[in-house]
Amino acid sequence: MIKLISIEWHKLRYHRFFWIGMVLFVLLLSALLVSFGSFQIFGSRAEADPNDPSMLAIPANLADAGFYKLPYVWQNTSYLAGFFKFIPAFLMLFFMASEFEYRTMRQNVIDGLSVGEFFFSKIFSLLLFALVCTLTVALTTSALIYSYNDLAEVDFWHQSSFIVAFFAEVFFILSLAFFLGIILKKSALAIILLILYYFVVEPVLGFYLGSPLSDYLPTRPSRNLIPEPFTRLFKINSFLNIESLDSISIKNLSLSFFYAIILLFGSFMVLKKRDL
Amino acid sequence: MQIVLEIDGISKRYGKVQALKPYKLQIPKGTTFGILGPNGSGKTTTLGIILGILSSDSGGFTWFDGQSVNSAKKRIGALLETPNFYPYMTAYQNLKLVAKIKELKNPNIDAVLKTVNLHERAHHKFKGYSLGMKQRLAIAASLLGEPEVLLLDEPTNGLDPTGIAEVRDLITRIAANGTTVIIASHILAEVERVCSHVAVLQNGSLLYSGLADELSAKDAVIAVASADMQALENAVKDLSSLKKIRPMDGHLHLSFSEDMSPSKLNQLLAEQGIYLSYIEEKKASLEERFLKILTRDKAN
Repeated sequence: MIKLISIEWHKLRYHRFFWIGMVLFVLLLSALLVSFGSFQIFGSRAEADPNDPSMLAIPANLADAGFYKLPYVWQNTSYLAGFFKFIPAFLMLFFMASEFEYRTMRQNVIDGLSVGEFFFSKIFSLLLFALVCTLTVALTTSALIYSYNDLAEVDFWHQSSFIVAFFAEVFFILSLAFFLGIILKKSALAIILLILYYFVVEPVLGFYLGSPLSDYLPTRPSRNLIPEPFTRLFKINSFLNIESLDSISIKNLSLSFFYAIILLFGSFMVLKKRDL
Repeated sequence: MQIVLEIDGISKRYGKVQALKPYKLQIPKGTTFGILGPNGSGKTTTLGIILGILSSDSGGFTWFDGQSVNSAKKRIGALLETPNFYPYMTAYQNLKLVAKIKELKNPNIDAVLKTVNLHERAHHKFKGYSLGMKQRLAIAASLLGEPEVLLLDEPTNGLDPTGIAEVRDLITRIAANGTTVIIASHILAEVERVCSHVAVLQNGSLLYSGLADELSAKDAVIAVASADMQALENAVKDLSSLKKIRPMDGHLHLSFSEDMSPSKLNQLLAEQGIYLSYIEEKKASLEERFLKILTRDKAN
């Protein structure tokens, strides 16, 4: 086990992309989360006249709208962070496909690694990426909670299960990238297909299938884990009669892990069967 | 005699092409074993199967005393086709990774880099290496941990004449230490110079396996001449073991189906009153023999 981690870490630590990708992810994400609160809200005026009653309803920026307020902050930040999951996903895909493009997996096996050992060493990369992402969101959110909330009044951990949901979402997209990297063996092709599938093929397919069938498409449960928070933030949901979520859906959580495990198991079987 | 590797009926089919037909082969410990054959004859397929990167359609193989392939591979240094390394790592970092995979406690990285004359470029990235340097790094990687078996597929690929001479020298030195060396090559000179044993593959079939000396000794041709060539020809035609007779350069080239030595032939002919003015045993070189085996196979 330690041997496999040491092998995989040796491969990662000397690659520039790994450091660039990780630093980019951590910096961009934390910067966005911290600055998001000061975004001006359309329709509000910076210097609103406090005596004008029509202006009171619309807050000046997202922080004033309660973006960083407990307990909703967990959902708000993990939802935004979801857009950044493609950085680690592309890294995963690139590192996986490179092993085939440069025939280094074949060399690893010639040198004495079994196919199973190779697979589990790559799972280490997947878990590392997922943990770095989740920790970044968790730590940034904690910092934001401390500066925007009075902890004497509210519970820090209330609704923090959205962090678990974020981990599941990242874990799923990494598993999909893992699978595509192995199947396609070409990083550029795999990245294009991942984007096409995620943003075109499955939404179109989902549209034709309709609910509830569309809810069971592979990427759906992970997408639905963290609902967009803005309707609730601006209290539009009460108009539209949308029920807001206080905790994550256990069904979607288990389904996204289930699909991820299927993808990983499929990757393992393909590796086992394939001539190198 | 200890057997390092026993191949028992492995075969491989790619779609309609039978790349390797089932065959048996034993590689004794301490030998320098050449697997000879033109391109596409099944050499690399054989090596791929015994290294566990290709699956065999039939049969099996045993390393050492029936150890699993993955643990056996830690005792084998292998170079298969093109050198594959991580382009963004230096030579040293690449070898360190190989050492980790092979679970070597104190890898002799500096020593093997020195052996292949790469120590001055040890900390340069692999992607900047020339073809010859890449090949030399691959040889260095196969030498890591002083393996019991060295498996080299076309080891002089991409090397300049000096490099080729160095690698042949290196192989001879390693073999002299008692390491079993298996070399696959389509270059006869390479095999002839260093190998004690040879197996010849063509179109996926094993055509010959045995001692390299025997390969060249078998089918020896005896060239003879005498004052009366016609009488000589008539006399040899009466010999029951004569296989072929061919006039060449004023001599008769004779080959026999049984063991025939020049002295025995001389005696037999003298008994019939024919005295030879010329007799010479022509041992076929490995190359002639190799080509012969290949053309015989084509004729069938």
